[in-house]
Amino acid sequence: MNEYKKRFHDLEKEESWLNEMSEKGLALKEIKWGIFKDTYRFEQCDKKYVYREDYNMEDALEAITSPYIKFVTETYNCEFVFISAGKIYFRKEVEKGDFPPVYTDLDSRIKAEKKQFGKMVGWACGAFVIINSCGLNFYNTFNSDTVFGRIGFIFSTIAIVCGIICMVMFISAALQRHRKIKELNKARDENGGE
Amino acid sequence: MPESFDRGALTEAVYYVLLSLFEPNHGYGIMQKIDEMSGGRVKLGAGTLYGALNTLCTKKWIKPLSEFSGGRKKEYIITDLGKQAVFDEIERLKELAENGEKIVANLKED
Repeated sequence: MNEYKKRFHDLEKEESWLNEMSEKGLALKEIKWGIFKDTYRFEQCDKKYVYREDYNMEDALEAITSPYIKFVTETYNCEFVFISAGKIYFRKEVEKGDFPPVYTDLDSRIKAEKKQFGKMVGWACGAFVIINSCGLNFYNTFNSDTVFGRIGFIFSTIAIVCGIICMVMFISAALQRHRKIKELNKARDENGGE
Repeated sequence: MPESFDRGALTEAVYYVLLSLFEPNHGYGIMQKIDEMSGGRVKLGAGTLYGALNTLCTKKWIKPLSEFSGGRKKEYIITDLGKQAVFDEIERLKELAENGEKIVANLKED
C-alpha cells in the first residue's frame, strides 16, 4: 500500500496529481481526512484511469444516491469512486474514451466555487453558534462545586476548543475559495469576458 | 454572469444544449449531439452540463419529458420560451458575423 500525506486547496491540482499517480500504475483506494494533511492511499493497478472530482453539493447522507452522481456515471460512462471530505471522485478507464474536466467553462467553474464558498461560510457560522452556546455553559459551570457542574465544565471546555478548531478550518477553507474565485474572475476578464 | 441575463449572450454550453434539445434527448445524447455538431470542438464537462440543464429547467427554457422516467435516463425537450431564446441568439450572432465580415471585407479591398 502506498501512502502519501498531502493537502490540496484546488480541485484541478488534486485531479492532475491523481492522474499522474494513475500514470505510475497507482489507483486511488481511500483518502483519510486529517486536520493538517489528508492521507491518500493507493494500490497497484494495471488499468490507467482519468480522475475527475467535484464538490459535493448534496446532503452528505444522501450523496451516494444523489441524482448528480447518477447523471455523471450514466452520461460519461464512468465510475463513482467515493465521497471524501466533501468532494466526489469519479474515474474512467483511459481506453473507454474521453472524460472531459467537470467544468468546461469559466462561468460554471466560478459558480461551483461560489457555492462552496457559501457552504464554508455557513459551516463557520454554525461553529460560531456552537462556541457561543457552549461558552455560556462554560461560564455558568465555571465556579460550580457540584459534580454535574464539573462535568459540564469539562464538556463545555472540550466543545469550545473543538468549535474553535472547526471554525478556524472553515474560515480558512472559505478564504481559499475566495482566492480561487478571484483568480478565476481574473482569468475570465483576461479572456475578454465570456 | 451572462447565463442569468434574460436578454444577454448565451454561453456556448447553453446555446448548444438548447440546440440539441429540439428533439427529446438525455445527458449522453446531448453530449454526443454537441460533439457531432461542433466537429468535436465543444466537449461539455459533467458539472457544466448538469448545471446548464438545471438552470434551463428553472428558467423553463427546457423541460423534463416525463416525470415517470424511473430507472430510465431522464430526457429533456426545449420549450417555446427556449426556442425564442435560440431565435434571438441566432439574430445576435448573425449581426456579429455580418459586421465582422463587412469590416474584414473592406480591409481586403484596400
